[in-house]
Amino acid sequence: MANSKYACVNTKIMAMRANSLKPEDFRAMIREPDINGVFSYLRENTYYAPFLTEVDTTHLHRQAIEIPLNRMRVYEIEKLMHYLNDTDKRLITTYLMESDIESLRLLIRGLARNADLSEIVPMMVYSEKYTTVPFDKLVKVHSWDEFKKALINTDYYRILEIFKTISIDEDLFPVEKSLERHYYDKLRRTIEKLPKKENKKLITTFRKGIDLLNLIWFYRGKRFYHLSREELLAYALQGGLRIKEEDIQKLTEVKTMDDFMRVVSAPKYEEYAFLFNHEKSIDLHMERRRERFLYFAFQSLFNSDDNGLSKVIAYIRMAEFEIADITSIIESKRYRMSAEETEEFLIRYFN
Amino acid sequence: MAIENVLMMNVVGGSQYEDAFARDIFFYNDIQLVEAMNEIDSGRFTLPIREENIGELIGFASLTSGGDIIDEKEYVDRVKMLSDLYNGELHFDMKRLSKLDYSLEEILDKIKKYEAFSDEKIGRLNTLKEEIAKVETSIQAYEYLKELDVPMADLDNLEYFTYRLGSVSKDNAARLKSIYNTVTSVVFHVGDNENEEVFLVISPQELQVETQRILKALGFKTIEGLDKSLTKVPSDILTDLHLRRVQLEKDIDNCTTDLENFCQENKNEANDLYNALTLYANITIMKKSMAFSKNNFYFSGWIPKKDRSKLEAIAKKYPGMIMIFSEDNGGVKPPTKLRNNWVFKPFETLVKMYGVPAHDELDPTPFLSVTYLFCFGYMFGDVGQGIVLLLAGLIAGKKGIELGHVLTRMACSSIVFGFVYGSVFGNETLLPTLWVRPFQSINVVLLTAVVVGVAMLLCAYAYSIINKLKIGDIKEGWFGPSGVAGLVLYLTLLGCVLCALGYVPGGKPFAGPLGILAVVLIFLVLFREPIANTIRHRKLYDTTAGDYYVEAGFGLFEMLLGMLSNTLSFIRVGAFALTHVGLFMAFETLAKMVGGGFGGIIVLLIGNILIIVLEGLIDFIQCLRLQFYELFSKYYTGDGNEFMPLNTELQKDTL
Repeated sequence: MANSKYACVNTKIMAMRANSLKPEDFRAMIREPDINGVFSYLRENTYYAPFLTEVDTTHLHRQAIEIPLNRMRVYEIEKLMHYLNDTDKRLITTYLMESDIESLRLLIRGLARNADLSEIVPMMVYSEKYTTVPFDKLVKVHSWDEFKKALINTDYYRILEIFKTISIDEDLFPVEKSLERHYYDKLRRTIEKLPKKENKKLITTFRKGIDLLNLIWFYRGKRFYHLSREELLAYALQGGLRIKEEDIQKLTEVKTMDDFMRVVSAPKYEEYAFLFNHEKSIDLHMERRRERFLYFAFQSLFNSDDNGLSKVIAYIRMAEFEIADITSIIESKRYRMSAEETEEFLIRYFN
Repeated sequence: MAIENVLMMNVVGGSQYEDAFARDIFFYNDIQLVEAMNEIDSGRFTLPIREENIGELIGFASLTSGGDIIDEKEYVDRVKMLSDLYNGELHFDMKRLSKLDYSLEEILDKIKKYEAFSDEKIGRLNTLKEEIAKVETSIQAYEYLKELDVPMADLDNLEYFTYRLGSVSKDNAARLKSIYNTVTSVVFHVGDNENEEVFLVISPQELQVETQRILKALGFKTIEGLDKSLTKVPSDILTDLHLRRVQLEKDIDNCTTDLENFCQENKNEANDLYNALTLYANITIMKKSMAFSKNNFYFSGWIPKKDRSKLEAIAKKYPGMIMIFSEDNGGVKPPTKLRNNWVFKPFETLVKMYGVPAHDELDPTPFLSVTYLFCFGYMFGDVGQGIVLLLAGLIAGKKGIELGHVLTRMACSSIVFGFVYGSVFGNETLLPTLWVRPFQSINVVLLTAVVVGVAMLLCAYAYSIINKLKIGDIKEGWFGPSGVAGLVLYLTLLGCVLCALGYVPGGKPFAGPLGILAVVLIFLVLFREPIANTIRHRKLYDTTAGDYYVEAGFGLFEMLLGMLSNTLSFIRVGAFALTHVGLFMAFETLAKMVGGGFGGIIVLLIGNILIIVLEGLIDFIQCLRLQFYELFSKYYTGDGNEFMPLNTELQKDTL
């Protein structure tokens, strides 16, 4: 039985979902010869149009389109907030933290390479309404210390204060990983507070997402960064569905990549086998595979009979994947990829 | 006249008198400073070209603005220092200041004692406070280690190991625990605070880099406060630190007592110095608006016309000082100085809410005050509730709230009308009525309100005509909708309506001719621009004829509508008088419904509070609306600048 508490927001979501791009839209954009064609299609045929009116069409590039699309996404989430309260609202606010952190990351990278932060402003996308970060102050700072000081009343201060400097080689990586970990810790804690019965499938999907992130982290940490076990553990995320504390221990204490692949081939990880059971393209498509898995998970969540926030979260995530796919199509134009090749790189799957 | 005439005063005097003159002006203080340099640059500050003025005239060529060379910081800083020393207990007092007889040297000499004392004691106090904060941090840090039964020296002197005390977030604590068994360090959980867990980590020096990297990855924050010079067992260190804290607290107490004693002993002198220095700070700030040549200073300001002789007397004290007054200062709009008696003065606040009158405009304050009081009293006539408002107004006025004074006057009006209606806290049986009881003579109350409203509108017309003719505006003054033509039209229409409806005995036959006159007047208003321009021998229309008639046509429509709506608008004054009684009757009925007695009294009490607060506020706003919308829109522009006398401005700057 439908939960009347969410009747209103779910109706709104259904209306918004009706605007989402259809497979025909994606096919049409893939058929366009160049980035200008994709842009025109978006502006003439999709609900993104209002956010694309001010784009300068003479120098189109990926970010010129991607940023307004993301602005639209944040704007839509803000609109949904009116229909929610308490824990639900808190969850969406926490979800919006991801865009805060992304903007912070841009600024921190800017600081690390001594760039003028005010030039980064146009690239930042966050919810002005719900952010806790004083971005207006941050973009005016000139040093790392000033940057940290401006954040003193936020959670981010505690994360950044232990970094005395911000060098590209030594500090960027731990800073970014720490911010990401903070976000997932906070998201997990907010999700834990949701009513379990009504949000069963949502919680399961979230936890599977954590499993995937951890697996990819361990795989890459071992294969590319050659990190110590302790470092892998330090940034491991908690709250996974199948990968619990002891599994994390096992996955991180392997010595070689072969050992790792052996561990992940255990029946326990069968659901996630799609990440690794490929001959050549594991590294290239790993992220896309994770997203495709989540795309289908959220699609089924959207159509599920969960009584809680499922539809809201599923919609938000699918909107995010939609933008990611549009961005991939734009990139495919730059590399002059064929239609089949382009489809390979999309999260959604036709046919 | 409620707007005081002001004069621009320009002064040139010998440099040797600049301080003394500034001091005299400060004590006089009813002056609005103007940048002398601006006046000179714009050519408004001129001197007659005579032989005796030659030095001053030559000085014009090599002027420096006071703002560029004078800095009041020296005095302001000292004033602040004294103020801080006495926690803001010292106050600026003109009377005290006028009795003071210190030379600047004496003051600067005396203040040294305070500066030295302040530096020493406050410096020491700050050091002590810093130290106590440090001790407290250390206590917190060692508290985590108090179970440790090893002298800290042993830990500090480990040859192959180092230790760290720090905290990580609860989430990261779980991560740290998961690597306890494999990490290359010994990790002890030693406590927790609000959101974090505290750990002591001991690690081999050889693996410093790795340990550091892992701890950083976990967001490990070192806890400050461990001191290598403290070598004992942590519990002993804690005992020492607690003793040290007690000692420091004692020192702070002593220092504070010394400070208080010193301040108390010298309070009188300090107060004198505070005043004297404030004076010098003020004089210095004043001098910033002066201009200086080698031998002379140049000074400008607006003063009330009536004080001319007072200032001339000041100038006489200084040989060779030239003081020039001008009324129209080269076309610059003079500031407006309002002068009203104590009854009307508070209403200036209401007028200023709309705008300060221009210097050549009639001050609307007296008219506003009288009509405002009438309207409010008429709407809110009640002896008892008036007294409550009076008390509220007196208290607010005492606390320095400007509107409090307005409230006391409104309350008095309310009390007067309370007697007229015979109403005390809504009760109409205690007092006899002097006129009517509103609810028993509804038509009388409403009609009276309209009649009084018409009278007010007529006064507004009069004000408007005077204001417009004063500035030579023939077009609007004689022929405009708020000018003579408008007034006559209003009266004609009024007469026409009254005659036609038979309110004027035997007036019916006049209705027709009055109607025709009204039409003529309407055309007069419509053609006001060409008529006025013909009189002044100018070209017929300021813009194109088409534009003018479109605008004037709509203007006519608005005027006629306005005449009707403005008149009827005053019904509200009567209507609110009725509402006032009506509201009380509602509460009275409620009181009866709860069966009277104690419950009834409570209901009446709440009713009265509601009436006073809510209806009082509504009536206040409605009266203001009548003033601003129905009356001010007719006659008042309010685009003047307020006269800002010296005193307030400088005090604000200084402290």
